[in-house]
Amino acid sequence: MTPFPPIERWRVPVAACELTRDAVMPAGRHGCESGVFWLGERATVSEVTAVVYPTGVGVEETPFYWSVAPEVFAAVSAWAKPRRLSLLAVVHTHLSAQRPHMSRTDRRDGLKTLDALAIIVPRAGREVDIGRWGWFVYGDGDYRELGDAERAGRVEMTARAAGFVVVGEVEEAA
Amino acid sequence: MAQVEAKKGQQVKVKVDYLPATEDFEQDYSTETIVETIRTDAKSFFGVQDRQERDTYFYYLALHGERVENTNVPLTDLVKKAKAAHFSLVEQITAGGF
Repeated sequence: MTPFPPIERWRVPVAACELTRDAVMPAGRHGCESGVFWLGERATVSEVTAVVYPTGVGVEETPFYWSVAPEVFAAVSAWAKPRRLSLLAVVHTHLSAQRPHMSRTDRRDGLKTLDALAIIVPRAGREVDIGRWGWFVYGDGDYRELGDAERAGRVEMTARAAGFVVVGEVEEAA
Repeated sequence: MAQVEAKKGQQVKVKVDYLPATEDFEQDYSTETIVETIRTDAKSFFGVQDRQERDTYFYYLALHGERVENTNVPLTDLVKKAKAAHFSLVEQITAGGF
């Protein structure tokens, strides 16, 4: 049995997209990129059940990139694994309104596991239309974009709920 | 009295998880096993390897949320008397020069 069974389709709650935008837009308002992780039980049909927002030490939200230190991934693992959740997608923002493309940094930092998703939300997270988001899938050593038809066939938007978890130190409001 | 602590040379049930994977790596190791062996076996199980392309990719073990800095030590140095150990495998990417 492989630890990375192929994924044919993803079920993504609309709520997960909304939680994602809620999490990343504050950084966007300051002109910085941000991001979250989508977790769920990996299977032939994988459903996103949790949105994890990393913050605090080890997370860099800058105008040019969003970066998460390996120690933060370790903390996410510590939360996720007892719940049998795997990392399905890394979602991050670009400030531009242009059609998203994966930068060298995006490809470098992206998951290198079969059928991992890299999703880019343009306009610093303000873009509501997921059809304008960039959807990329990993396979054969690189990411490729999911075209509209393939995305429509493989990504099912659902009305189910999704959990939201913050990993890291939360700054108190002034 | 039941034996509850591992002694020198006894087996430790090792589990290694990796965030993107569905399945953990699980294997019994002698307490004298060098930890680097476990890191190597776990990388093999998850199909990843340390490598240098334009960037450097390195996979380290974390135990109780802390990075295991030195893997050239016997397992017993890390787990003391425990009979089981749960590690995480974590990818570290160091950007190369432009």
